[in-house]
Amino acid sequence: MMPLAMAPAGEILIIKNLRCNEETKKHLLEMGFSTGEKAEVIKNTSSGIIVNIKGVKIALNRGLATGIIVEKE
Amino acid sequence: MIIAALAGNPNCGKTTLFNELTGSKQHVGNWPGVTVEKKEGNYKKDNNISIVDLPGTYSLSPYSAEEEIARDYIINSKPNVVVNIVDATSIERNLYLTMQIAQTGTPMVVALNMMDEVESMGIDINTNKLSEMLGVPVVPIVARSGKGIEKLMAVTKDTAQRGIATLKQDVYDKIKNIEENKNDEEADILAADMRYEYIDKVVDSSVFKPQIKKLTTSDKIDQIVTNKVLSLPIFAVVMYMLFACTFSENFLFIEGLPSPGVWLAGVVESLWGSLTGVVDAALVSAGVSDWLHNLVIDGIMAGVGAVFGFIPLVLVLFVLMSFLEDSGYMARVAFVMDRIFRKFGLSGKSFIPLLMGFGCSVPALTASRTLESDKDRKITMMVTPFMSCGAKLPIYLMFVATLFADSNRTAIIFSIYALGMVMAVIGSLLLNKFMFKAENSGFIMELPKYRIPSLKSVGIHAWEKVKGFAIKAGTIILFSTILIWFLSNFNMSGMCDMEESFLAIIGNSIAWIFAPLGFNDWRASVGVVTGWIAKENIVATFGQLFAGVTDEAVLEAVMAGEQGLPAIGDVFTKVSAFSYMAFNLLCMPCFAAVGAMRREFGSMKWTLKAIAFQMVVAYVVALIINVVGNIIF
Repeated sequence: MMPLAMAPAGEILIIKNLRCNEETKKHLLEMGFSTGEKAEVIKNTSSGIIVNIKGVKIALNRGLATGIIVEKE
Repeated sequence: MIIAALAGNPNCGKTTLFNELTGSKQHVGNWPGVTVEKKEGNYKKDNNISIVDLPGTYSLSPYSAEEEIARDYIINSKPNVVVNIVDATSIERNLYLTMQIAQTGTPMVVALNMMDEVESMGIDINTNKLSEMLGVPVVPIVARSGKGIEKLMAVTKDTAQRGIATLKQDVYDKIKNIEENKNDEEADILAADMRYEYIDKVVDSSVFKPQIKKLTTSDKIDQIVTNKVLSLPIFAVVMYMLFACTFSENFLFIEGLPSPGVWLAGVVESLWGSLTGVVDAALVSAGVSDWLHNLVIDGIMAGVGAVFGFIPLVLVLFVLMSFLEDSGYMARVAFVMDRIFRKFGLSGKSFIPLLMGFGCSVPALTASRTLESDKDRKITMMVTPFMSCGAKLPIYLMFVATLFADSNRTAIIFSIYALGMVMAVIGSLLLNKFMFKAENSGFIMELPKYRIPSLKSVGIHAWEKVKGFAIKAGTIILFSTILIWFLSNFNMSGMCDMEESFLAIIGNSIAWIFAPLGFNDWRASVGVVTGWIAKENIVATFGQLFAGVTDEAVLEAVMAGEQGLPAIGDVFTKVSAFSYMAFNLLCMPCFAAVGAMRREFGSMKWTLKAIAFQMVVAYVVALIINVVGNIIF
């Protein structure tokens, strides 16, 4: 278990938990970050993280990515 | 009459379908990024079907203003049928909205878009199975080429007439039950999980993806444009090209070659000049009185002409901006810039409006629409006019030529530009701290696949923007020009010289306000006021009021900084001149920009708040310059 912000590029991860306020949590869910979903880290830079989730590329800043708890597949 | 609402995720091809269905004529202003209002039009092949285009949304739960518009429309206005456009290349995420719309019980049809891309990716979708699992008709289409659209509309009409709600009501009822019976916030999240659970089932049984995944072209481009080292230089080059195409007098570094924007502006200006000549001659031959001639030629034609003169620049800038936005590149820029702008209390998406502010605040304010956080958007709009626009440059050039002839001119002008940027940063930090209590929203943005924008859609986008700009800015400019013309040519006893006009009286009566800033002179205060019509107006006003210069050629030389106005030296010192430049840089922008603010805020209250903020900042900064400057020098 680790925050998405720590995950290196190329890793395939499973979303475990969302640690953020309810509103952000809902929005993340709508964008596809549901528990148990697979996400592939495309890029992890100082600007933020790009992941591929449900066939869509999503860019997040580090703050948001820290609140997304993931586990290696 | 059948009302069909188009709903779907951002970037699912909704606007393309809307254009395809209604014909471009019915198109009523879509702005790349965010469709703020809903648009309406009739189906071109059947006038009995009215199409309503809703803003692109990820869900029906109100997270942003646009999502609220979409939700309220579907629930309260009760369209006969909802056409839900689903991007088949990212079907799982798109079906989330489908599930929510189905849950409202509104008759719906799923338009499975981008089927050509899906096929080229080797994905196979069983639409019959999909339709059966979702309980709604599913029609595969390719919106860009118009494939499948007639069938879609036939099914839509049929569904609307039969008024059938979704068949799989049991699934939706189950989710609805959870939402209604558990009223804590967990319920929403539980419901969301259930939706995805069901979507997984649907996708498992109807979508067949090939196992081997290859790097797409989009992935390859992204590796380069979001690269740590290359991203910023690439962006700088793209932006430079954007501005060069619009504003450059020496395009591609070729001396004297005008850019497309400058060339077009010249054409429009000369056309307007000839039109003015024709009107002038007509008025003279009709023998109208002097004041009417003066009002029409110097007031209306000159004032409105000033607006028309920069419409070509706006057009070219927007064609290029729309192209970049439609291509998907802007989303990457916002991502790359976000970290830097976050530190100033802004979002990465604020960068484009601020940069455009160096050209002209009017299109820059419009470009702020792409920001989805209300707080970020308002702050961006409030500080955008601090970026020194093209029209403010002649003011600096005039002062520099007269009062700073012995100093480093470039350094003086650069320091004014830098002051604007610094104040934009300080301003947004202050607004974040004192005016907006909302916490910083995290940055989350879909990076759409790169697509080559169609010329048609880019053209429509740009034209719609320019049209709205011309109408709205034109009305406010026209009104203010007539007003200022009247004030500067009349007093209680009728027509008079400018020195005795209402404007002079007003100038004298407000001059004391500016005394602490170092310029206690009615002509200086009148300059501030005429600057609100157009900032370069200040130079014309000064020429007229200080030196009696009305000659175009002399004024142009002054504007270009080639000739000074020695009379200014009697009123201004170096310090008060700098204070005056700073004040005009930061205070309320021109009326055209105020009109744009009014339109973009959508509220007079916020427009006034923004103006008040800009006025206070301008006053305080000019005061500090005057006080500190006089101590040092």
